Amino acid sequence: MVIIILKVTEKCNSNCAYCDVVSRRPHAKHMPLDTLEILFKRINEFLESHPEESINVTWHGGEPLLVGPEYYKAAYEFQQRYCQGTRDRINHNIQSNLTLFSIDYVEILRALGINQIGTSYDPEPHVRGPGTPTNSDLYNTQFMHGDALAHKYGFKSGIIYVVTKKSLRNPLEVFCYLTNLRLDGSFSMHPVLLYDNRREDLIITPEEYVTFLGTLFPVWWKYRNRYPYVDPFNSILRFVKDGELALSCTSSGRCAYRHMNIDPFGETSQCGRSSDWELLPYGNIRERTLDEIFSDPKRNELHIRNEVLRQGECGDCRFWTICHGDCPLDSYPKHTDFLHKSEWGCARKVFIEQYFEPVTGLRFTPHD
Amino acid sequence: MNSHILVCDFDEDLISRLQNQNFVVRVESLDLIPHAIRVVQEKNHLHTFWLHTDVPLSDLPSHDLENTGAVPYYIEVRGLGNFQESIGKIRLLRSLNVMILIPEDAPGSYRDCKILSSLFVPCGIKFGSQNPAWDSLADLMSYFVYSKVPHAPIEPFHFVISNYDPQKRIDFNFIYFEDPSKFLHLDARGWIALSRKDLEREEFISTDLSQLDQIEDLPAYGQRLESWREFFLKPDGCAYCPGWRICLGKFEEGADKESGCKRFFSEWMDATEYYQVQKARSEVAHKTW
Repeated sequence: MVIIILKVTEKCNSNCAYCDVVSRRPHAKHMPLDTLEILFKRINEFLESHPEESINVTWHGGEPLLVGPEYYKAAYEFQQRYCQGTRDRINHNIQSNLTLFSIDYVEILRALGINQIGTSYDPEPHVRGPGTPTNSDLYNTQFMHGDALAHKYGFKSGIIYVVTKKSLRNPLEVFCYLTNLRLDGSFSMHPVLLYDNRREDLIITPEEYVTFLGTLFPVWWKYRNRYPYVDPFNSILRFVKDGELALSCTSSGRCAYRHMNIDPFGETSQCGRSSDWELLPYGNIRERTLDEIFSDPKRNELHIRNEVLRQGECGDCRFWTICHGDCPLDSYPKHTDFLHKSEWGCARKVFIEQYFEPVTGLRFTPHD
Repeated sequence: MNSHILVCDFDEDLISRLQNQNFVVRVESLDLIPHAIRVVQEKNHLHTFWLHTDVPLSDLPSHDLENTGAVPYYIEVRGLGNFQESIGKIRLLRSLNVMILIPEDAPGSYRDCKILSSLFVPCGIKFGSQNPAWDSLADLMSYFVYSKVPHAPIEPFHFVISNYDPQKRIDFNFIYFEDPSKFLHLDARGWIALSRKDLEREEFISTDLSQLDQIEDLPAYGQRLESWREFFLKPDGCAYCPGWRICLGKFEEGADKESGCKRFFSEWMDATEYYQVQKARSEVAHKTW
């Protein structure tokens, strides 16, 4: 399966403190429908020439619901028209802040096969929300309304929670809040990734992230039957106990030839972050096929990264299978290349060694 | 078709205006029950009677109890009262389909519940204040869950441990017919409220009894069912509490950093999950045998 992050707009109705898209795109726009139409032609072209492949399209932004429900209806029409023999190999997902979700989106999202909405949320004031300073009260109210509506119409939604410096004050309270909001624990905790001085009050170190997780882990372990799906705990446990590997793009080590971001102008790059940072451009879908984009030679550096790390910085680290040096883009700010490991991957290793293994009594052993 | 159970004071005119509805009927006197049964069952169905009294159990006339038959009902009393008199009624109470409800602030309420339960009379605590005696409540809950000696259910603990799903909120107000997803409250005019408190404050969701079948379509109804989210819009408080999924902020007004509600509801969740694990194990053992 190949992944297309479809940034159908870079506009957003929020001004979240740690967002690269909003901060770097003052002239944001929506993707014109003719560009979207070309995309579906390209998708069909790709799938026809690769009968074994499927494509996962993740609608993203900015805030993808800003384009309105009619836009998604147009997408559905394009898919029906141009992908008649391949549409059963096209899967759609969406990442939305839910503040604009309404009943008008229900049918069309269902028609696209979308039954869950990835979202993110933070109860901390002035981190997420429109305006400067961010109006988090308004944002949170709109989020709750959208979340309620999404659940009413049968859409599941997992939450991405971004761990910032503010989270470190009361980790257990934050954890309680999130497990009360998502009773089955369907949220995942990720460190904030800020590489400039934009919000020094939010930046955390890998060590702080590990301590945060380590504070929560014994509680989660004790009550894991109550809220089983808290990540990264659940994923690590499933791997250790059952050998079940469910790696995100950052830790899979396999993003080199299977990942693509498309911005509203049709310009492609490796992923959302590379697009935000203007790295790894692969050309425009108006001029290039998906095959050409997926085989762009600039991707080769990502491909050889696995070998370079295994022979160098990562050596025979027993956590390689679930890390692969973590996201290559995290290597870039410090080294201006992608061939070094990310300190966030090592944070996962430290967490497992210092907290997961002692608390659970289980030992992480490499799987092939 | 209305799927809610209707809660009202006994009112012949009101009840006779409806048919095929399920009713919880509040009465003030035991001797009204036989007549109330006939009125309700003429065109509707009886869910429960709720006899509200301000007297202890010992003061209730036994012959009135005997006349209630097999109908399910709550008797709300101010405790056991004279112990000898109350104990004299135990055999009768066991033969009835009754639960004794004691207000939390009644003297000896927790002790009396424990006694009734140990004598196999279903009973329960009715909350009133925002600051019940948390330690006593925890003691009663522990007795109910952990005691190896057989005893009768004690509400609301029994409801929670029987219906707890760790991945859902559970509202023990169901026991008191205060869950708006299941119960609607009517006044004598047939005006509809979502709780007894709303009824008393005259906050009605509809003043038209013919709207009963469309209540779920009203925006205010949906908003009430989602009102739990309001806790998550506050900078601190109940949404941050480990006991949330059982409490749901019912004691918010009395809660502070030092209050016992957080500890109590956390213990209750632990006890509930312990009970469910034990029950699952005994079922497995039973099947294995």
